[in-house]
Amino acid sequence: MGVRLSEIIEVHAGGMRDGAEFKACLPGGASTAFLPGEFYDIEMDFETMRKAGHRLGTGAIMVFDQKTCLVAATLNLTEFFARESCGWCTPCREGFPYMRDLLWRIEHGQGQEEFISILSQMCRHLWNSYCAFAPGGVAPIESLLAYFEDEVHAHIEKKKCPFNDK
Amino acid sequence: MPKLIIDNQEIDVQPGTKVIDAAEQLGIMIPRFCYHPALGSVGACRVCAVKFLQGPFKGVQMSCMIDAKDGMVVSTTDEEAVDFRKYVIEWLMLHHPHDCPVCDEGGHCLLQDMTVAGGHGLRRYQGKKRTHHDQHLGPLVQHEMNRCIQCYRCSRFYQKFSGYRDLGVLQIGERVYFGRYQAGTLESPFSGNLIDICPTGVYTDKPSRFIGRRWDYERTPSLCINCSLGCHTVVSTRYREIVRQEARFSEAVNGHFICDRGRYGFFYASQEKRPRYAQINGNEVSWEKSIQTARDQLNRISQESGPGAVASVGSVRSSLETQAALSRLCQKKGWQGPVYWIDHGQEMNVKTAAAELADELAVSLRDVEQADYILAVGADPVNEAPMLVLALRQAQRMGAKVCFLDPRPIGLPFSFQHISVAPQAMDLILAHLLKETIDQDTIKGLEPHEKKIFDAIPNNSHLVSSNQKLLNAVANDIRLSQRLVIVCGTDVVSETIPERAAYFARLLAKMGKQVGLFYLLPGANAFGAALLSDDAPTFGRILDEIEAGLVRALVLVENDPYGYYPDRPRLERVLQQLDLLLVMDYLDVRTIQDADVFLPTLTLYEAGGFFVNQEGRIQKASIAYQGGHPISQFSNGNHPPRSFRNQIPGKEAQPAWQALIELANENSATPKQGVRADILAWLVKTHPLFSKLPPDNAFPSDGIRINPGKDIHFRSAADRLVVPTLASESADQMELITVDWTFGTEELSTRSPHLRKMESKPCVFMHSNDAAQLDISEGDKVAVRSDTGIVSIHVTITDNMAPGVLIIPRHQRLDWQHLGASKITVSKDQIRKIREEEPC
Amino acid sequence: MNTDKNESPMTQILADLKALAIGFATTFKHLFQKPFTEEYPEYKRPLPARSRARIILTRDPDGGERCVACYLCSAVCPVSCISMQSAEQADGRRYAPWFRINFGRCIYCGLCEEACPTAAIQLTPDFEMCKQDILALVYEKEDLLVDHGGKDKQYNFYQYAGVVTDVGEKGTHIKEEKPVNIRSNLP
Repeated sequence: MGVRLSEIIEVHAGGMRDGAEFKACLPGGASTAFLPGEFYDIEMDFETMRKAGHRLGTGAIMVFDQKTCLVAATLNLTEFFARESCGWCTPCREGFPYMRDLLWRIEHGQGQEEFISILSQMCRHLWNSYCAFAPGGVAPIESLLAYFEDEVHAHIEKKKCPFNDK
Repeated sequence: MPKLIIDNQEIDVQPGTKVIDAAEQLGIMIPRFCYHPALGSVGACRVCAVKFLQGPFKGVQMSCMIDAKDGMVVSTTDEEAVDFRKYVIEWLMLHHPHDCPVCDEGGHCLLQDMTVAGGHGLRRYQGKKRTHHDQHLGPLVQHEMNRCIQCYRCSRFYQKFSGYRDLGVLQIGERVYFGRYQAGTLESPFSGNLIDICPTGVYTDKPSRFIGRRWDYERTPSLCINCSLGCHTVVSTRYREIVRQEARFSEAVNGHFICDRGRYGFFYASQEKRPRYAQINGNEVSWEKSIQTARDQLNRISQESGPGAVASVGSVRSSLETQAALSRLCQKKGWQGPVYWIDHGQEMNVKTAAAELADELAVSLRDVEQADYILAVGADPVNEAPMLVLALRQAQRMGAKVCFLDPRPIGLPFSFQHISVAPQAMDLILAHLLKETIDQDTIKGLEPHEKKIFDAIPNNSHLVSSNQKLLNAVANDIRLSQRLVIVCGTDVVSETIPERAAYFARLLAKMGKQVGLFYLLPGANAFGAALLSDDAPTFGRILDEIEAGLVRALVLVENDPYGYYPDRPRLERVLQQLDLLLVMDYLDVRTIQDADVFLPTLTLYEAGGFFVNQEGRIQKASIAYQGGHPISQFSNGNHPPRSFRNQIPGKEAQPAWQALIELANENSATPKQGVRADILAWLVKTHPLFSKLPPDNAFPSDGIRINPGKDIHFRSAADRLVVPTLASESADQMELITVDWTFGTEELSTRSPHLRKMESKPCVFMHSNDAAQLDISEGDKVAVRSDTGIVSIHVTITDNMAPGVLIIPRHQRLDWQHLGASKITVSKDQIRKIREEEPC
Repeated sequence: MNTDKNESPMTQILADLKALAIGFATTFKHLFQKPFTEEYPEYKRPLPARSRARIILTRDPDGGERCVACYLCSAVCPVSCISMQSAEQADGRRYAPWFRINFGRCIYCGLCEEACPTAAIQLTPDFEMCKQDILALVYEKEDLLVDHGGKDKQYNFYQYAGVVTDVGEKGTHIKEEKPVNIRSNLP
């Protein structure tokens, strides 16, 4: 507890690969928000994370470098949540597949500007689900829009994924 | 009493009221899909979200999940809540197929209403729509899974509420599927309720599939007369035809649901074969001529041989008005009757039930749900009164124990105890239970005549000892229970049981328990018949008198002896001996062929009327339509005729009471107006019991209960509790009883083409021990020989019934009427295995 | 007319004569022009395709009856001149065994066409429906049904609706995924 994120990555995990720069990480599994670069030195304990508006979650840290498309990463995570929803309540059962569709379209160059507002509204509304699954599941999308909105806009403007040169 | 504010309006509600219901009391209809008062709140659909501004909860919450509490301030119109609800509708509509025009739910679809109310018009979602295969769920329910909004109401009703297991949820997430593991006919006899509770068109009514829209139907409150419970229904009429029947909410009787027999049992009213014109000797004549002829003939016979030479037979499916008009006619003319009962046994059972059902003991169907112990004696709810199953199930869900004392293979969708003994032994077992249960203090405090009955109960017999362990457990449970209900049938039981059950109930009440008594009777208005039948002879006795030449004319009022009389050869022979057979009916009964004069009558949908259910509750059915030949039949399915006429074709029939009053009058100039009021006035005058009857316009929806108790005098049902005796048991003898089935035995519902598809093949139930002894295996065909004929039938072997008993359904596809009596004793050599193709 | 009291009577008379002359001149001029009046019924003016008169029941591009007897037209009809019966065809389609419009009552408001979800009921420019016998104005289905698609040639309701008919099984309609396999847990 209290170890800095930078220490975990550089010391305990052996550091970033050659040529890779820290872009963001999921500090505690799929249902936590992305921690962008400004939190690189954050102390990994409950209190500090809570103050920063983040959660420690499961403690399974996933690090993304500057070459990774976070829209694609979020799409992947949302795909997982859409499939894992139990189907009991409407927001989670229908909301995740809807957001998966929107993210897929953005990632594949079919995005439209209004998708961003739909996504952010839906993220907010998914907090009114039956259990804590959906509020956790929207955390990556919420943080994607909060910290990496430019990246999403770039997808929409270029009509393709900027990380995909093909 | 919690006081809360919803949308700036203050309201006091009962503790435990959900916020969604509190709002409804204020007239604010919060949208809902998964919430249903009978199924409770589960918070699945999330469309009832409102914003809690003050109080123990804050923010957007589901109003169905939160109990109203003091100090709550709730807004249903808050922007955040409205926006969330809008999104919920959008999510639910993502995959909704584009098929409202061909969906039967369209026009009364909750999803349609909410979508329009929520302002959702255009689909923003650009993805493809999810689809599902549909399943064949039998002849009553149509499945269209694409329309599903996953509210889980169907599986909650089917599994949790009613206890059946064959329909439920499969898969997870957006792949959730509601159906059966394998396509097939739904096992529950309550499957039709899926149609009512589904908020959209996943389950729609198959018999009325693609027939019309709710807005085109004339909907009228009515009653179900397919068993004695008298559930509330609403019938939909269109083009002179009942198209559909649904459950109508009743606080006291059926709650929100009805059974499939009731729901689809109305087709007799628009049967193509329904007789619509008066007949003399099989030739169609005018109503007036028919009445005149009948009146002349009856008067002639009356003059020649005395009024006792005319006998009239009433019906347990007739309205109270018809029964009263018949009583009045008999009284005026001095005829014999009205006859209602087949034999002495039925008369005793029904009259005893009516007399014993004192006001303090009578309970409604909904009261049964509150019991913590239910003892059912000689009652088979699924087959005799299906809605009782749902009431028992609710009690069981709340922790009540249910015990059946019955020879039949009782099948219920929940666990219960079953003491299966032969009908003859039931009274002894019941008496033994009573003796084991009642404590010494209560016995000491008994009145002398009650004490005498108690003392007459014999001590242990071999029957008791073979069931000792179970009986002890049951007696113990009864002693521990607080709110008991004793359910007692009147069909297969011997003549002492209804009285014994009442005696048991009274004694338990003396022990300080809250006790209810719940009889099942043989018809929708059997209670009314019991009150009005006075001392008339039984139908069997009337046949004796016809044979002896004492009775020369018989008036059958909506009564079909071919349906119930257990000795058909004798019936055929005896009816031939009559000088005059006058038949009045709305069904295509066989007696019309034998009738000298026939008068068509009206169903309860066309004539309305009062019916008294088995707890003594008088209920009213309104007039749903004016009758006449349905347009679909009149024009052979093509467009209505392109011609005008000033009368409705096929509308000659009159209510039976009208015919009876016209018969009573000396000339034909009986007015059509005011006759019913006259009859009711006469009824109130002659039977003070009915003086509580409110006027039509002020008649309460749940009816009024009249329980005469011992005030009513029955000559034949005097205090005569006898010592339970046991017929000498012989290993060679078997008791044969005839019973009702859910589908296939009741005379109105068997005329429904859709319920016919639900009927199972008639079979005789036999205990495996007996079958082994007779060297009979499952599916074999046997011939059962009685004194009057032979019945050949397939065998079903079960262990779930009393040994030494044969159980045969009074199935319309079985000539059970060759047995000679509804209960007989046969020796084992009268049962013979026959080859399939062998004629009997 | 000019009624200025300050003008002399002579000026007024002249002004009146001038007005008369202009009027007559206009009339005279039109004697030599082609008249605007159309001689009906000798000449029948082609009406716009969207003008509202006699009602027809159209067919989809494959020749199937478009009407699914959903009762929306009869519900919306302000004069209740439409009646029908719905039923199921062997191929699963909902259809109208009989369909009747009483043109004696119809006010040609076009609400039925607007309500129709399948583009089946359409109003045509044919307004010549005068009959001596009022019953002859009661049109049955065979009188209403035509063998073309009317204004909307391409639309076929059953290609969009998710119900099984001869037009398509589940999952084969426009913008539909293959049906969910409820016996498999694989995504």
